[in-house]
Amino acid sequence: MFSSQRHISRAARRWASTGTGKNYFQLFPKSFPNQGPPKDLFLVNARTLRKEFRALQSQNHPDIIMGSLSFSENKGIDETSSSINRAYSVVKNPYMRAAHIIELLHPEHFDITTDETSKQLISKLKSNSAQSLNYEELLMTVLEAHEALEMANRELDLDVVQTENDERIDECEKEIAKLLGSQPIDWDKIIAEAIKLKYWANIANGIKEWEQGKPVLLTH
Amino acid sequence: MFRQALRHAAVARPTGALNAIFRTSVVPASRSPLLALAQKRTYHEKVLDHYANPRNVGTMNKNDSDVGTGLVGAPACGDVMRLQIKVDEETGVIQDVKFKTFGCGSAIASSSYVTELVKGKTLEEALEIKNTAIAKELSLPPVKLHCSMLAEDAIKSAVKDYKSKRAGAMKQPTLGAIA
Repeated sequence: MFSSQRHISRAARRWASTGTGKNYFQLFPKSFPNQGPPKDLFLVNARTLRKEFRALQSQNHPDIIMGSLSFSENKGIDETSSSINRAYSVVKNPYMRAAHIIELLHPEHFDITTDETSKQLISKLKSNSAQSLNYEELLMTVLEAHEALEMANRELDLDVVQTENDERIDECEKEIAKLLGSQPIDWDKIIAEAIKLKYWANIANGIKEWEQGKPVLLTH
Repeated sequence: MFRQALRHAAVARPTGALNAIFRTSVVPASRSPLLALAQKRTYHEKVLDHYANPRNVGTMNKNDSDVGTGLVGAPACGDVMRLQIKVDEETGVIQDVKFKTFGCGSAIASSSYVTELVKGKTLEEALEIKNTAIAKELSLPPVKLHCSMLAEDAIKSAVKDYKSKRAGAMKQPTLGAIA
């Protein structure tokens, strides 16, 4: 028990020290045989991915591999239970997946999950000639969606908000998939879509947490 | 630790609203932002107070000439905040403030606190409010600093909106429009 915990924390440290350039898609060779998008499709089958994740965890769970000192050295890929968990949480979530691809493959390896970086990118995207992002309009739509959610007082009202939001998420994901599939890759547009996706995901979160008469509180 | 905070807060504000909030957010305790906020005794009270009884929530008519509207977002977490100021056109003093925030507890507390802070200030004074001051007052942990940043951004954006409105609408210079 204790020895396996020590192994995991050592593995986590190793992961942290080699953190940059770490490709999470490599851990899921069935779902991403070519180390992830753009060579693999951006849109993933959630069920297949989950199945692969569970199979991996059943092979690499600390209770099973305890005692095997070389468990994380095979193939040069960190396959500890904790890193599989982390990788899965990234690749299964469309926003996190897009952010991971940007960090891996964008020439400047931007990490859009930090507020500072994404704000800098937004001001760049707002002012560039292609006007890749109408941020004011986006924020207005986000605010209106949240207000509609707040006003919803029956499940029926909620359905309308949800359908609308699901469509937005779907549209964003398809757009990112399309952009990743064309050459040369238009990173500005991908970043703009990923930023939108985060806002829609937050609304989806609010919808999931919605209960009759309960104030909306977002947890993240 | 959390139970302590709960008892403390319950004694301080035995309101139905607060109980309702605790009921809804305590259950998934591991994910509750309130828990993170309540871990240090020194700050849970102010944040909880602003969060449970947010000041100046509401909307103004954004088309009024003396109203400036700031709409900002935190792209890394997806929170949005709208902050509106009503400005005395003669003196450039902010007479009234309204906000609406969709976000976590810290974002709501930050914006509520900032509305109290800017009321009665001139536009120039309001622009000097720094997120660090908000974070310090509410003792936000480092991971929630961007929530106070959102509040600072909102003020700046609202003042900018008011000024550009004034500059566009009137030719004769007034205090609020000089910039």
